[in-house]
Amino acid sequence: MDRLSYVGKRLLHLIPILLGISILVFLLIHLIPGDPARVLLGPHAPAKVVAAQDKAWGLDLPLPVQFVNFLGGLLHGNLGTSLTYQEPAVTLMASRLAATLWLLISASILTVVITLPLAVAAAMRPNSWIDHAIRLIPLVGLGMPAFWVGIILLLVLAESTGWFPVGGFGTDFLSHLHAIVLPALTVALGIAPITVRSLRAAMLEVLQADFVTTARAKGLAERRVILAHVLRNAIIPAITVFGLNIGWLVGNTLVVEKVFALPGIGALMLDSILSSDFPVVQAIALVFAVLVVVVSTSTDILRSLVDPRVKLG
Amino acid sequence: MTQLNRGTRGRALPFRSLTAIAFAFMVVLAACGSGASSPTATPSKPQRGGDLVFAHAIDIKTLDPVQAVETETIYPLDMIFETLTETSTNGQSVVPWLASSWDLSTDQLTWTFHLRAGVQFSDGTPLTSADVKFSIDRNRNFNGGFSFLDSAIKDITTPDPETVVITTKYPWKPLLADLALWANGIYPNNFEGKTAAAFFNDPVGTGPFVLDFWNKGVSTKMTRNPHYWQPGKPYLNSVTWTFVPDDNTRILQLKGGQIQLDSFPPFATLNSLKASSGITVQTFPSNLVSYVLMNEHMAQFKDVHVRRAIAYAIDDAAMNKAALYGYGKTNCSYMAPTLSYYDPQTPCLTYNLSMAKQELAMSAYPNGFSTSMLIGSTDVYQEAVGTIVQQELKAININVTLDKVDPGQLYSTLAEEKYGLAYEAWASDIPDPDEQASFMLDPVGGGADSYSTGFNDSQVVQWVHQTEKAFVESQRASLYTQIQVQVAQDAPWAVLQFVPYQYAFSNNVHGFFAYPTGNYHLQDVWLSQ
Repeated sequence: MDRLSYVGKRLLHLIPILLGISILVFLLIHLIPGDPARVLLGPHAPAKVVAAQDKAWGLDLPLPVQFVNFLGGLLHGNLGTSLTYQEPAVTLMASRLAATLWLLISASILTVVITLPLAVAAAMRPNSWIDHAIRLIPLVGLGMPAFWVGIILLLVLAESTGWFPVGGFGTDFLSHLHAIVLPALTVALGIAPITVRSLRAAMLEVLQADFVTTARAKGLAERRVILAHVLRNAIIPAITVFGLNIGWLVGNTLVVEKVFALPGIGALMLDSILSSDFPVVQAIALVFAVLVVVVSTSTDILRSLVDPRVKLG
Repeated sequence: MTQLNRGTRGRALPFRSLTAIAFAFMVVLAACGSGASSPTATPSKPQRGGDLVFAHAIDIKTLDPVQAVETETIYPLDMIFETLTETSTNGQSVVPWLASSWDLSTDQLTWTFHLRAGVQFSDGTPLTSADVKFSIDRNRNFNGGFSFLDSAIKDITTPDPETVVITTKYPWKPLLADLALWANGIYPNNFEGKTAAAFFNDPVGTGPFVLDFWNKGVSTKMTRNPHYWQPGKPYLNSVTWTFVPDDNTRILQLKGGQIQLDSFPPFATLNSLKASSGITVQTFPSNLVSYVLMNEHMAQFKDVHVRRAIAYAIDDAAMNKAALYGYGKTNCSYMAPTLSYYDPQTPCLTYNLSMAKQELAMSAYPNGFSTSMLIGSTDVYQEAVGTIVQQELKAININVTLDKVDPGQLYSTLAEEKYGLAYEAWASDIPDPDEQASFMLDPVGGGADSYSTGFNDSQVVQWVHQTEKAFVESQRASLYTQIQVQVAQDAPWAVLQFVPYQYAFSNNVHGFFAYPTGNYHLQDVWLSQ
């Protein structure tokens, strides 16, 4: 299957996935007790005022009717209006998408930057103190919850030194870049231990292969042997692991976004859940599902680019 | 991060440069950052200029006063829209604001307000009585969360541009306090011809600041209103409210000089913040009181002896130390000491385990029972209170399971009265005890079944209505004393603590003051350079 038809097939898979997710999210959020009108109007509002607001939003209708209305809107590209901000959910999400994409992309880049040198250094000297250190120390990072790592980074690299802003997202390209380093590092420190170990293990295996011995016998420089032969063959499983973790990360941005006050989709999701803002929660769940599928598909394509032997489909 | 970079040294020569570049990149980026500000000697006179950054844990939700419910939304809105009257510094009365004076007819039904001369909206148009009528009429007809406070108003007329006449359905003493409510904030008549949505995207008010931008979920910036009626104010060029949900991040931002004001840092952090150089921590007397509500729709809590037993069994002084780190104060009355007519002589059901056991023995449940307690899952203080109540009620054989729910569910569960015990706190929104008395003690008139407890004492309800029509101070004070004493004995809730408002700010912030109703006047705040 060529890459284009593979992408097309994956996009077709999105339809049942999105339908399933929309049903699941709709049911889950409506099963949780909590009235958005009560949240909006506050605990002091008389019951009749709350009931009137529920009616205005159509929340007094039977659940199946509400779901049909939701699906009808979805088919017309209408994901609903935020009950809290009285603004289309799509507009609200669009304004938050930038911070989340910055976080995901920067975290991915930093993960690669951390993984490659550490994995190669460890694989080149297996069972040496360097190898042990590289395998053990990042595991400590893996055991730390992201919010804690984030706070420590803020304390050490932002508050104490003033090198980075203590949270926030900035207002222009450079300030975004400046603000995203610590959150991206927090995420990368959570993923890198896994990718380092994965790449190291794959490299150790490839280093034993006959073609590596041949390459060395031909007199190739060690740098070229590692880069052109070992790394290229060993990196495929690492890409898979990396892709899986980025997919997981998409659903977990809310912790990092909260700690760093990043105005991203994860933070919006958290707020919307707490205020029972149904339309926004539903819309974000759908966007997250799309993001996970896109990342997963991109990972497959990347693998096929690195190794033409990898079959898509 | 340092460890990881050091880890790239050694034999992995081809990749060392890659990591070095990454680190250098971070350092270069870091160089773009700003350092912490250092405090300077305080000048004696307010200085004009400067941009204040004020961090909130909750985002601003609306710019429409009649739809504002959360304090984090209300206080910034007060900087755009002002009211006819304003809460006094001690929170017990009102002072003239957009109305410079008023008269009351002898039948106590007609209030004539004289508008302050020379007040303009931020776009330069003068304030008129038509604006006042439009705004207050809108609130009382809106069916919003606080429209009920205007329910005594029968009619508003405007005999001339400088005069507003408000007629009430019956003599209504709390009117001046009701008019100080943010929801009665004044905006231009008919929204200057715009729709409500268009107007509140770019609102115009008489307040000290004008909206610059509202970036939902990120920050809201307001700049100085050049037409503000108080000479020389505001001092600040601008105020930016940023939304920083994490408590620790707000504190680090304050320490790093990225913000100047942190609203409501957790009580657990106040002592360490006080020890930080360049930071001032201040608590302001509020009218916020916390309670354990008891649902009288459940048979156990219908029994007054059970309620009294629970009130006796809770050691509120110990709870103040454990949950509020001593920053609160124990309270006997259901009213806060900052409210007018608060009676410090109100008899208490203070912690007394022996009395608690005696009361339970007199109840229909002498051997105790099991129940649940509703608490918010996102508030450390509520979790601490819940855990302490759970432990203390064990001593009288009342087994409590904690029911932790998110804020949305909490409000609904309370309103639907599907709980046994519940943590709640009340802060009066107006400088008069009537709002609280109606809401908490009048099951029908208050519209909320006595704070969703079902408490119904006809004598108390009668007294509450009498206070609303009593214009003689001594008579009103006497009625409120009777109410406080009776409610303390009936124990529809266990009164926990009187909780202050806590703020932390940089030492170069001056003039910040939180009123007992919670609002603040940033027109009085200035930054030393």
